[in-house]
Amino acid sequence: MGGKMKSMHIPDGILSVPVWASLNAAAIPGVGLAIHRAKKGISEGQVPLLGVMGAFVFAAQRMNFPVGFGTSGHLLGGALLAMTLGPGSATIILTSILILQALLFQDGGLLALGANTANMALIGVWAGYLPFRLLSNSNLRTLGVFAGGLLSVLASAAAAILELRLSGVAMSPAVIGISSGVFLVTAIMEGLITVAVLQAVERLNPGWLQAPRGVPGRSAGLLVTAALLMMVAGVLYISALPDGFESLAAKIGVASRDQIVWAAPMPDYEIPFLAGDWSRKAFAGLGGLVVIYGICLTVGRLLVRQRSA
Amino acid sequence: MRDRAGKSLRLEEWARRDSILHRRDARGKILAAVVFLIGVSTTPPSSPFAFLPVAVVLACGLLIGRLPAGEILLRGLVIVPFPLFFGLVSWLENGNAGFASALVTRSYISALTVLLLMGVTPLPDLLRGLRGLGVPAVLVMVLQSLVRYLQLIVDHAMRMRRAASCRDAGVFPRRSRQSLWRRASGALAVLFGRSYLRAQGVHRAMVARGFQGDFVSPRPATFAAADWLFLAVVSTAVVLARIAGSVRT
Repeated sequence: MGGKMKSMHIPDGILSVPVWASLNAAAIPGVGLAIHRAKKGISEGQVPLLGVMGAFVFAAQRMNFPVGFGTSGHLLGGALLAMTLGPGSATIILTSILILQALLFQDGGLLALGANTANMALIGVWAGYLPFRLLSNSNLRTLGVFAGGLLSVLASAAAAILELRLSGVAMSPAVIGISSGVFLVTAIMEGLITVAVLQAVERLNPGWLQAPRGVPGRSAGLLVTAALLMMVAGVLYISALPDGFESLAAKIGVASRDQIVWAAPMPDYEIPFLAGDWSRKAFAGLGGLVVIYGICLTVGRLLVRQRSA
Repeated sequence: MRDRAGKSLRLEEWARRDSILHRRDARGKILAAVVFLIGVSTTPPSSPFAFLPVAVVLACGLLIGRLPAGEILLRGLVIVPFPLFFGLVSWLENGNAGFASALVTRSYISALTVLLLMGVTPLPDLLRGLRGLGVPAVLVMVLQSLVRYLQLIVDHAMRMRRAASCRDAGVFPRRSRQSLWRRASGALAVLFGRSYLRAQGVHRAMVARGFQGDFVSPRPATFAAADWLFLAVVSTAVVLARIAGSVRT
C-alpha cells in the first residue's frame, strides 16, 4: 500500500452487491444499538460534545508521530475514543466521521458506508475497547490499552480484507502477507500512540477517562485478547489460501453455488453475474434496503414512543 | 488540512448556485443518488462499454446542475488508487482484466455521483434531508456539530503546531525519538482536553441562547410534486441505462 492509501476506507464499486447490502443490514442496527447505549450514558444536551470530539479526531489525524526509516504515522483514534468516551459514543463519532469523509472527500463510498462503519466504527471500536475494559483494573492496564489500539486496527483491516475477498477480489498469498505486515506496523503504532496519548490525558485530568465498572478478572481479558488475535489470524489465513472461500463453503456445507447468496461474488465472479439476470440482483438489493429501512424506521418510532409514553 | 478545507469550500460554493437540481428537495436527491449508485453497482462488466449508459446519465446530471465538469472529473480521481491497486492485484492473480477494469470504472463513476450530489445540495440541507429519511436525530446532530466545529478545532491544532515550532526554533535539531514522541502525544492530549472543554463551553453557550436539543431549520423542506417527478425520472433513467449497459456487444 502506497502512501496515498493509508486508509482502508472502501470506495463504492468494489464490494459486490451481496457484501455491501448485508453489511449495511448489519451496520444500521449496530449503530442504532450504539445510539441507544450511548443515550444512557450522556444527557441529550451533551450531543455537541460528541461532534466536537469528532472534530478532534479529524485534527489529531494531522499530527505526525515519527516511526523511523523516515516515515511517520498518525492516530486513527477508534480505540482512544472508546476508552475515553465509551464504546457507544465512539461508534456514533466514528460513524459521523465516516459519513462526512464519504460526502466531502470521497473517502469511502456511500453504499460501502455499511462496510466501513462495520469495520471501523463497530468492529474496530469493540476490538479496541474489550482488552482495555478487561484489563483496566489490573496491573496490566497499560498492556490492555496497547492491545486495544493494536487490535482495533488489526480487526478492522482483517474485516476489510475479508470483504474484498468475498467480493471476488483475488489476492495472492504474497499480497496478503505484505499487506498484513503493513497493517501490523500500523496497528503497533496505533497501540503505542494510544498508550502515550491516554497517559498524557490522564496526567492532565483523570476525570476525562471513562472508568469501567464491574471488571472481570485478568484471565478473561487475556482470553478475549487471544480470541481476537486468533480471529484476525484466521481471517488472514483463509484469505490467503488459493481456494479459501470455496473450501470453507464446502466444509460448512454450502457448496452449491446457485442457492447461496455468498457464492455469487466468488473469484469466478463473471459467470453467475453475466449469465444470471441482473434485474433479480438489483431488485434483491433494492428490496433488501427497503426492508432494512422500514424495520429501522419502525423500531426507531417504537423506541421514541416508548420513551415519551 | 488547508487543502481539504479548500475542497469542501469549493463544494459549498457549487451548492450555493442555482439550477433545477439545486431546487429539488434534499431527500429526493439522496434517494436518487442511492438508486443511481445501486444501478452502477449492479452493472456487470459484460463489455468495455457496459458503463457508458450510466456515465451518460451522470453527464446529464452534471450539465443540468451547471457544475464545472472538468473540475469534478479531476476531483473524482482521488479515489482511483484504491480500486487500481486491488484491481491490479486481482488481475495478476486470476488474469480477469474485465473485473479489474470494472472495479476502477465503477468506483470512479460512484465518486462522481457523490460529487454531483454534494455539488447541488448544501451540506446543512443534506443533513436535514438525512433526518427526514429516518436517520436517528442523535447521529444527525453529531454530524451537524461536527461540521460546525471542525474548522475551529483544526485551526486550534494548527495554532498549537505553529506555537510548538516557534518554541523549538531549530535549537535542538537532533531530538531523540523518545522526546519527539512525548511532545506529539502531549500535544494530542492537550488538544483532546481543549476540545473537551471547548465542547462544554459551546454547549453551555447554546443552552444559554435557548437551544433545546434540536437544530431548527429556517426554511422547512417540502417534498413537492416536482420532487416525486425528479425521483421518477432518475429511477427510469437508471433502469434504462442499466438495461442498455447489460446488452452484450
